[in-house]
Amino acid sequence: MTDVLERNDQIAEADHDAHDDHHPSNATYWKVGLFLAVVTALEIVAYEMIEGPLATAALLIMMVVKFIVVVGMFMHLRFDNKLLRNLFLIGIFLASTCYLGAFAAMGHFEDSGTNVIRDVPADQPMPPQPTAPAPIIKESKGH
Amino acid sequence: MSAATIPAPIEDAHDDHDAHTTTTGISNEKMAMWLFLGTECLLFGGLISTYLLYKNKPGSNPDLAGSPVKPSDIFDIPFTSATSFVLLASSLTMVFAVTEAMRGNQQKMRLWLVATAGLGALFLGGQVYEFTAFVKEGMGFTSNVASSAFFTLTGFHGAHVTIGILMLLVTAGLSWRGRLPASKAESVEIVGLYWHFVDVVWILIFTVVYLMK
Repeated sequence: MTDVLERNDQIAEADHDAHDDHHPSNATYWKVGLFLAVVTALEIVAYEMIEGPLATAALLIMMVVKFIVVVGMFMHLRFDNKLLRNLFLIGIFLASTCYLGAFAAMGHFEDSGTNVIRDVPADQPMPPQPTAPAPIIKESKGH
Repeated sequence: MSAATIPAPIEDAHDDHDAHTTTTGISNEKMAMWLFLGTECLLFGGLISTYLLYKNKPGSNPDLAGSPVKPSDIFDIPFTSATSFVLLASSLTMVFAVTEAMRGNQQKMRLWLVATAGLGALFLGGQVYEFTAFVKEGMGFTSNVASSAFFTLTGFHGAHVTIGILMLLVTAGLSWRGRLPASKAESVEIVGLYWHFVDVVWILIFTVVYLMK
């Protein structure tokens, strides 16, 4: 019984040693953590200092960088089996496609003029409602 | 060795053996967790999309009566930034816990697991404080569609953090009771995957919901 348990632990340790070969060291993890903290600080700076589409672009780029670093390094997807990476990417792809489609279907990318989906901000006046055209009165013959 | 003493260790051995001899070369538990995380992308994708669709609509539509207070009007960015740093730090402590589990150092692993759970609890406390402040400012769950979408999204994330904290504490407890041998170190890695995913979702929420104007 003891032999079996010891053998199991030896196999497990061998597996873990092999697994460890692909894993970064603690020093690398500290560097990655520091990098993520710096990028988060830069995000806050971008939020405070930059306005408009440039801020949106900068924030999105930094978000994607943080996402990739955490998934790749902390979740070990960079070192793990490609099948796992594909499983996760399928989830992201499905979610992105599905919800971008929903955005498009609900008119999120265009100003449809309705106030249901893409309405004006609360601090701006509502656009004038279209008025019905004046009725056309046909003159009867003989008058 | 008598027949009566054999069954338990042999079953254990088979469990471990099966975990490393799947046709994919990946344990079923780890594969299942990644599949689960893939489906979670769809859940949070839906919640984030709903918030984006409705974030600018409080009170501007006469058909949707409600408070005109938008979530973005009352965000406390410095406070949320601090809690974001806390959650990021918890991901760092989690990788250290996984590393120690791989090395078979149970005591250090438990310390890192408890530290991760503590940081998670701190983040959760911050979220409760934030929610309370929002309600005092006049933005409750049913105030308008934007607030409903906001509280649903961040509330779901908070629920995931809570489940993660419970998983961390249960893992630490199992280790403390000697029920997490070196051969089961992958369990810690799987809990870690869930925890990092919770962090990844917050990375998206923090940028898309809080920082993007």
